[in-house]
Amino acid sequence: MSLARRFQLWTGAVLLLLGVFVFDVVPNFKLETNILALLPPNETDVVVDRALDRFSDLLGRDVVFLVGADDFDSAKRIAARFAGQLKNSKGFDLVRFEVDPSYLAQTSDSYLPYRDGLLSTRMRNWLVAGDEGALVAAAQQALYSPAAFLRRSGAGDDPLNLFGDFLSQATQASGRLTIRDGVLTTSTTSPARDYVMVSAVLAGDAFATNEQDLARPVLAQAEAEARAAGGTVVGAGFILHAIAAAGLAKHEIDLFGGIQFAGLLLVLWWVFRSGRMLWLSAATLAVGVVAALTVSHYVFAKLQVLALVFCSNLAGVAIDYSIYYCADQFRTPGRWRAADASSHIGPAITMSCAATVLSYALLAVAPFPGLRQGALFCCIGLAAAYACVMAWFPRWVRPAPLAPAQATTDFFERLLRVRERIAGRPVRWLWPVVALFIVLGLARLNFVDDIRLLQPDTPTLTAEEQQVRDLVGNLPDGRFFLVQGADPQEVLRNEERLTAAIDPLLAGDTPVAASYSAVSQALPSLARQRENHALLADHVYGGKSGGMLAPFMQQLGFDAAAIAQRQQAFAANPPLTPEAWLQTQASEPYRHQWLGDIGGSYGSVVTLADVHDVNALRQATEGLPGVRLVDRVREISAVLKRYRERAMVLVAIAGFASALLLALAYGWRRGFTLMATPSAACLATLAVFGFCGVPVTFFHIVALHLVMGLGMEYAILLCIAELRSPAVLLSATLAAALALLAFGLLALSSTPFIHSLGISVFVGVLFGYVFAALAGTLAPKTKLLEPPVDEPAANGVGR
Amino acid sequence: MKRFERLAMLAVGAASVLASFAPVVATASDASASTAAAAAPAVFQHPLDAAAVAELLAPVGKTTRDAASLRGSFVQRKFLHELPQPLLSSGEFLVARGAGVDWHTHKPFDSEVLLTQAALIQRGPDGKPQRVDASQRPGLAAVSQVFDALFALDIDKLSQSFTLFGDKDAKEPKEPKAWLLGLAPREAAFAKFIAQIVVAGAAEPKLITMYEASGDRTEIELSGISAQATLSDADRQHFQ
Repeated sequence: MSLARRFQLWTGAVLLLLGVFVFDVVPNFKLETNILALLPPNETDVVVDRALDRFSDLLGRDVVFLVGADDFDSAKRIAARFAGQLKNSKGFDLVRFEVDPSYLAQTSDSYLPYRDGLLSTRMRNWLVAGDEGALVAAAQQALYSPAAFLRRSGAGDDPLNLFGDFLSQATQASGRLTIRDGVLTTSTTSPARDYVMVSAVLAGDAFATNEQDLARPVLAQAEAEARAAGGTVVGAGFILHAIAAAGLAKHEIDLFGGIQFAGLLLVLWWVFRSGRMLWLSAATLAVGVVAALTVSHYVFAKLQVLALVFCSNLAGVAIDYSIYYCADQFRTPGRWRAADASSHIGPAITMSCAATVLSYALLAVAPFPGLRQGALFCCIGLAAAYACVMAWFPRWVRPAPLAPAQATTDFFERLLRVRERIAGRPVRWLWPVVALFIVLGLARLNFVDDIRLLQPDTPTLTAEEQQVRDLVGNLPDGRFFLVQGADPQEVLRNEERLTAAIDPLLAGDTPVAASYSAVSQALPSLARQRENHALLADHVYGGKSGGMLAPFMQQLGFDAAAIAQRQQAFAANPPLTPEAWLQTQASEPYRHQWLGDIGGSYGSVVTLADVHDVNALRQATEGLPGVRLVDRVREISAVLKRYRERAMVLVAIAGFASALLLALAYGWRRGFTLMATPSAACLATLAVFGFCGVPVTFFHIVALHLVMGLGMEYAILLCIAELRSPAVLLSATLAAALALLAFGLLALSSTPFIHSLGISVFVGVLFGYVFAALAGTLAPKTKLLEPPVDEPAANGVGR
Repeated sequence: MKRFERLAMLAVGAASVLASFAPVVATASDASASTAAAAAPAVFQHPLDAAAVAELLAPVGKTTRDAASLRGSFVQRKFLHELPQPLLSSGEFLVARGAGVDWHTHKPFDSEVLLTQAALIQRGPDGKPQRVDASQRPGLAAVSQVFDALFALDIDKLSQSFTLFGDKDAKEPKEPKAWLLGLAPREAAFAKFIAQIVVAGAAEPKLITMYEASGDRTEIELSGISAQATLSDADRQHFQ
């Protein structure tokens, strides 16, 4: 195919691509944020996923603040102003600051019509066990205790405190907060400080960035004003983390991106003296990313957020193709025409692209959606970037003026001689040292798969959150039970089985958790309500034996008329249904936990506070119908672990496959030798982590994939004897220098996984370039340098 | 993700605290509340400032006011609006300032209620203790603080939750230097279960009357009070 034909075809294709991208992909583009979607598809339960999504959506929008000051009055004043500011903004839906004192009265009113089917767990257990003495003792205590006014029902109306005890159970709250002047407050003694609570709900979706953008400035201003007034604000809520992370990422992108971009421009301009080259490189990168996004969009519908991590891989490699192409001009400075490079350096670029695409394609074999998407993303992006270089550069690139080009060439000519003096001398001693270094380092290597490494480290926020937890007290744990059923009643019955199973574990001297909160505590199943009614009829209000109510009331001194009245009031009341309950204020504290219809089945969440022994809970609830103990940290960490292990094996296989491909082009011996330096670079990078005690994660391994690809490029350029020229040395040196700049900056990121990528590639590229430079050139079918002692590609990277 | 889940739960927990804090008597009706108000003594016609409170309580001995703990006997009469005669109980109490109240009923049945800052612990006739953490029962922490302050006449603490009233020429109890201290809750939520409290005393508090919003009334008669300047280790342990 002629260069002109190639140009026309590709330009047409790119225009078509851009059209599709702008008019079809952009409006419909979806990002998958649920990290569990990374699991192989058959391993997750769709219903469970949906339930968890619903739960997260409900929770993600809530945020609490404690506004502190030296005395209560100031704290309250500052908190009022703070709450007012949030309330007046569009960013927040519901801001709560003052307490509704009639809440509990309304709650008991809404339960009153159903009271004859309602019993607290402990009262019910006493009635079931026939332990009337315990019930009477509790009722007496409720009457005689000095704190008796805390009871929730009147003595004449509910002498045995049966309804009162249920109300206490249904409206149990957690926390160390007390009420004062109509607000919730808590205090610390040293330093003496009072805190007032403000809670808010983010408008819209916590995961949508535009809603965060609305909330961010309001929050920043309200906090600043509170501080100016002498107060402090500590907050806890997912949204705060999202805002902080977005702010941090934006700051880092601005800073690092700026430095990187300026550095890139400067270096490329200094070397190539061509504005055109810069524009072409940028266009190449852009077309690569657009092509990758478009194809991913059509193949996967939703692009997993983790796949975007591979974006950096794509960018890192794609820019190199432009450099290699343009650097060819220094082979024949002054006489070079852009089309010349196509035949000279073109095959090497083709080879390197083919090997890299092959190694990423291997990732797609694994049944892991995240890897598969990342792999496809890179393959498409690299292929498109490669096509841009090969199609556009021969026509559009202009060489640098003769004088600076000659100077550059001379400089690299000298550098080439230096390199050959070093590499030409036998450096056999080096490879055993490297091998020893690798072996010792790998022996110390350890791995970490903790999900928390995914999140940006925001120590102030974490400390604030801990402070809020300490101040507010006994609050729910990250582990919880997900309960499912075919209909709402089955969910409630399953919950009741679950709570019966874990009640004994929470009661003993060493409770496995402090408490739990379940919808069925406030809304018994219809079956349970019928049982309760029967229990009350048999044991309390009469039946054949007469029941315990009459003698108890007599003993207290009630007259016969009052006793008869109470007994007659007991009736077959209407059942309390979930629909009716959800209409009342009584359900408000539980609405987050009631998931309702989750696509064909129903679900609810039972939350736990202060879990000490999750295994005991797991064992006790094993085999209960519709019950699942959710420990997302553990689950997601397990996913990451499997990804890491799989990715390690795949890096090794990719290295081996690339060697085979290179062997086809350059012969067996050269093919495998070429792969030896990138493989050694990967292993040496891991060894460095081993020595430095840096735990290796999935993201380090993904980065090794890039190290392998880049290292292979350097090896091809520097070790293939036919390519030996100052121009090629310049290509490799320039590519390595820019990679070091870009990834060195990423290594400074405070977002852990970006840091992991950056540091791995930085170290790996350093090794890859140095090893390739020291390995010397490989002439075809001549006596070669000894290959490096370690033959890592075949052995595999993962031990 | 863990952090997210925990945070989210925290928010829910806090929301439910907000929603369900205030304890209220279920059957409290406006009619009965007004009955209680009507029965309120005249002491509530004399609002007091801090200096006036100090003057009012001057007769109370320094040993009592600075005591770390107070021990004594009580007789409690609980007047339920549904019952013609009061529910009578008696026993011993121990108030440890800042630690809690131990309410040991001997008659009509043996029972002990330990109200600490952290929990309500009840021990019935069977001797089995039942513990309710303050963090799980709304209002409990507030109540335990009020009780503690009420018996120890901790005016600073009381004035945070109540408006204070006083009458230093009280007719009851009939002895020289008798005084009446009236307390009206500042909180609407608190007022939903306690309408007013009146403490009568002279050299020491003698009678505490709590007018409940439901129309019920509790009278606690204190006698044989002994004050200790320090809290013994055994007593301190008791409230842990």
